Amino acid sequence: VAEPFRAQRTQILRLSGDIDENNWESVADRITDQVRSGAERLDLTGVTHFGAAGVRAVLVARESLPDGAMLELRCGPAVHRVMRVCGLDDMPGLVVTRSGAAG
Amino acid sequence: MTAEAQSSFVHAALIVDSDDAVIERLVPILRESIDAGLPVLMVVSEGLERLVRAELGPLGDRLEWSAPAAFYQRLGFAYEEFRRYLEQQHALGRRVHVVAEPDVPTTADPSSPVDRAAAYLSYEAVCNEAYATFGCPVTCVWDSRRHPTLTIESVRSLHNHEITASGRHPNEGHVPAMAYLTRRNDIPLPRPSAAIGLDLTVSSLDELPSVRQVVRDWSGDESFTDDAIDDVLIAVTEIVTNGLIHGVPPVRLRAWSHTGTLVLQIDDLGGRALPATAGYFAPPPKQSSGRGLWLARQLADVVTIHSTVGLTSVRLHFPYDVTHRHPEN
Repeated sequence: VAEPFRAQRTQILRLSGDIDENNWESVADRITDQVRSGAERLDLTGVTHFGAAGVRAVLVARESLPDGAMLELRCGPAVHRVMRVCGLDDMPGLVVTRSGAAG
Repeated sequence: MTAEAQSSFVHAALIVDSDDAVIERLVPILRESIDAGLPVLMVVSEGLERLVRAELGPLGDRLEWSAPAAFYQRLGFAYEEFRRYLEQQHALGRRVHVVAEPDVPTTADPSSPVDRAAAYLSYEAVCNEAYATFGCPVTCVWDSRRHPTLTIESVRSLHNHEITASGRHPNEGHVPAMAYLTRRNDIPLPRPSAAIGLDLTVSSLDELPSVRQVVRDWSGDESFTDDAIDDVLIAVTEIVTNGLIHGVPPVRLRAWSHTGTLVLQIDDLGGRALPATAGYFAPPPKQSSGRGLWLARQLADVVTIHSTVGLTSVRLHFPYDVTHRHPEN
């Protein structure tokens, strides 16, 4: 996977493709950069695979959230299930929402 | 969790062999909770509800009733939903007495590729620890007329209390989760019970995307729909990744379909014995790693593990029905 995701330098960061053990660190770096730049929403509806490595990327990036800031994670059904199973839906600083679109 | 919390948690088995036994043993316990002002959640079958309501009369309306189907889906989901319910009650400062009648197969199904009742009992074993901090007593009703003797013997050993005709007593023969689960992992996995549909060798993480594509196509050919296939792919990816990183490559992935259940076995050459309770406890939210087996146990219905010299095997089971039932969400 040469370029598993693309980002836009706006308040919304959109990711697509697979996130797994191969690329989670670069994904974490990308999210972290955007969070530091003020991104408030992470759109994961285009992500086609998201497991423990994806959770790790989000958790690492979460550490960079400014105090009191919230990051909305917009997810397709499968990603939402993983977020919930791993307790990210109940974590301070994160708001996990579910899109009807396939994930 | 403190040892005190675990030792004070009451996880009681109520084993009955007649309707009279239900009335003689369960009803007094329920009256006791009602008299003490302790809310009671009844997650039981319609038959048991009728029996209890007939005995309690209007008092029956003071109990909260829920059908087992709301809780008992994939075994991991059911266990975690239950744990979350207790956690929420605890956060609200509320104690609840939960009475559950497990909705698991009543007899060993020879056509099933895995003993689901035995897998259910693994969760009964770990909940002595997983539910202990919430202060909510849990009573499990098992009808010995509907379950094999061996199952009932295990039920008795896995609860730290038992309710008998003379009341609720600590169980002197209680078997801790670690001991029970270690024995479970000592059991060799049975030979594949159907023709092998997939047989792949995976040597590096770079191959994960192509492994997912092959498993996706095969699962689709077995009539699984996209949402269910996503769960299969996540679980398989976690176990293959674990095999490559923590085991000894190459990893072998085999898959077959047996009476509506997709079975996927992942072997690596490490032969390490996994901790018996691995994947049974939700990782702390801030923990950055160690979620792979937890995810697999949640997304698959049943996960069985066995290690022998030079071989660690993890087998994932996805029955069609429960894998297509998502507790949204």
